[in-house]
Amino acid sequence: MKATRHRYRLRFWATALALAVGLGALYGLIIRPYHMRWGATDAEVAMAMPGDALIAANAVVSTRAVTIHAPTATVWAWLVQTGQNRGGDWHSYAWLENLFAADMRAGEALDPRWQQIQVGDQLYMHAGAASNPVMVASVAGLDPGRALWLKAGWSFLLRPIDAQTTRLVVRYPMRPDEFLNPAITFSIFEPAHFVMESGMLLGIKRRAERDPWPAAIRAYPHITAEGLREGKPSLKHPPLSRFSR
Amino acid sequence: MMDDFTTTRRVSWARAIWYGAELGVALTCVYTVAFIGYAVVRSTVMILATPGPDAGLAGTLASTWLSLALAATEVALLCALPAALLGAATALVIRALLTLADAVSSPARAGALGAAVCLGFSLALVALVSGGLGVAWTPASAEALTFWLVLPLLIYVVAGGVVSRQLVQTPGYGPARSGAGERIGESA
Repeated sequence: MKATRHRYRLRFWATALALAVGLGALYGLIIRPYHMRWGATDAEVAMAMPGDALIAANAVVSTRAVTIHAPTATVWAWLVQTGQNRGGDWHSYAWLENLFAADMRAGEALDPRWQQIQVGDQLYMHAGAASNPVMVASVAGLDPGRALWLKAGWSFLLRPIDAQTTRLVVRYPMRPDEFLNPAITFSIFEPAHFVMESGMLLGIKRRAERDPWPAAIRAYPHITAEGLREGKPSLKHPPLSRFSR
Repeated sequence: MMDDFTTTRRVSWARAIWYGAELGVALTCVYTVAFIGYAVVRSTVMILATPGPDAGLAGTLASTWLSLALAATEVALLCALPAALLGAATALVIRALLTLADAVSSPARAGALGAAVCLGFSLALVALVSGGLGVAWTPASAEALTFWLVLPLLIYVVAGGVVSRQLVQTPGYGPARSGAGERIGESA
């Protein structure tokens, strides 16, 4: 009886250990190389992004992208209302963030109040961000309708493919000390960040494609500039080559 | 009664600490697996609701599942030490009280005592979190507190009752019998 129990316990711990080691190996060898450039083309991985100058030398950079079947203006409208203190969430897994008391409320409609954004604006990543600057992503720069970059070089670039299609490319520089120490950063924060960031891109895609020309966009002619409407960069915006290497 | 009990086969103090710590870590593993299952289902529902990710549906699903699982496993590893310490402390108290309360002859009483001990530890933890760390139950923190505190402590209290009840039903652990003097974990 005692020997049987002992065998069961050994089997339980051996299985748990094997699963943990196998999971780590699978992640490191296959999943991580895939998710560090999830959806991005070789050209997008190699191209310069507007926030690159802010990236720390020791940061590990990921570039991810998604094709959205909606005009650039619509994607921009969803992007700029990102933030717990703006549209209510980061378009990602709000239920997961709320397990950490983030108090995200899934914003399922465009809100004209959050269509204005400027350098210095703060995007809260958590309900406690007002008293904890670590949980704030400040707008470091923007090119309306085209690009938005946050502190430390976290960049979002919108590339119009045609009048109804947009590429949303996001680059995130992860510093080894971003989450206490490198071991925790790369074993917990990095996979979690992939889940949240890919969820954000898919969340924006799903919302934008649900109504590609929402009334809120039509009400804001400064966003729906003629160039964006025609699927080309507006004359007010610099050409895309500005960000190309 | 105490004299009788000391001649009964029973779990040694060292073995009680080991079992308690092991059970604490095992429950952390089980809770983590349950969370991973929940997170996999919810993330899958959202990914499937978004047609055509450029990276491919299968790859997106697999990388999301495995990334969630890895992050959760690493967090579980960090939680394993406090869980082991709590389990060991609980086992020590339960072992002592099973003897003092003469509960070894009654599985029901042993179960109630085990659950009560765990409930006491749980209330102490809640007091520490709310009083010491200033965490309050608000609409914003309700989900987080439910996930990190309420559900784990509920499982802990139930496990304490079940394990205590089963412990006194283990052959050789019951009331004193003549000639039985070996202690589990101290024999040989």
